Amino acid sequence: MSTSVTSGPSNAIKISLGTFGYVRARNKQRIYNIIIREFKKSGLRNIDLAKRLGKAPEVVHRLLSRPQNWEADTISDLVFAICGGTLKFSVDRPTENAASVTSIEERRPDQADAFVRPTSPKSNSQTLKAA
Amino acid sequence: MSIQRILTSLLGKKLFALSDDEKPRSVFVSADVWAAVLPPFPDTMEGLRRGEFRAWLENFEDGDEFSVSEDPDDKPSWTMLARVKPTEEDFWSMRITTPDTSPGMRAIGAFIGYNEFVVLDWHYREEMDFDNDVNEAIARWRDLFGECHPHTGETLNEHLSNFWPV
Repeated sequence: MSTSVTSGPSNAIKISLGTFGYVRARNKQRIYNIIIREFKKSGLRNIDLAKRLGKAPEVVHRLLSRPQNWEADTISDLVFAICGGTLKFSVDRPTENAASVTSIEERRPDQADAFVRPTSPKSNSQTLKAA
Repeated sequence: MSIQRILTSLLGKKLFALSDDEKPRSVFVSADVWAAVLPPFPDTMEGLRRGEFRAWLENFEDGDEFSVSEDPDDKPSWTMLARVKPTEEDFWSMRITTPDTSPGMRAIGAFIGYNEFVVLDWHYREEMDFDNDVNEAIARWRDLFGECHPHTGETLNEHLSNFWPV
């Protein structure tokens, strides 16, 4: 049976843990991008952000170290403390014509062009950004 | 022969571009790595880990923000990309440290140009003999690129964009 990471769920078929792992990591990275980019733009130092958050600098250092499974409150606190903003949420949908890939046994690396990921956003998708 | 010409000669045979689309960064992977990150990812812990690995590589390719450590003896455990010893060889470890319930994964490789990375080997962290595995990756590089040294620079700015030094 062919499956694709990016063709989206269908019917009542259980989505695999592996697929969820992929999607979770992509989303956590996007949130992390926002935090780090806003932090870089702000010109704040770690210690400044720590004071605004009421946390120790080493805690903030760890928070900013990598994409993590932040709670909504953590994301909210970070965005507001960094730039006084709030978030706008949107969804980036996979391309409707995303090709499927077969299992590893059937697919050679030189057939990689059959694996299609979302490229530029479609007209019905937007990008997560800080407002 | 230049390193870029060697890369061109290897593509589709021993190294494979992660994506055919033009991306802010380029990622080239060995057949072993390609096989590890090829979907579908099963409904198992291994599937979860490999899905995260695939996402890590795509995030890197998309030019996303990455924490980077240059000093292998002084880095936080959560850094995303770290130089490895021997440092004069200019090899790096991609550190996939999620899910938190697992020991993580490591992928060893080197920069071939600014924002261009070749991923040679991958390992589950709990199965690694780290120094030996790095040496094997260095040997693989030499098999592919001969005497050509990986791309390097005096600062991280010469290696990649959008990084967060830690």
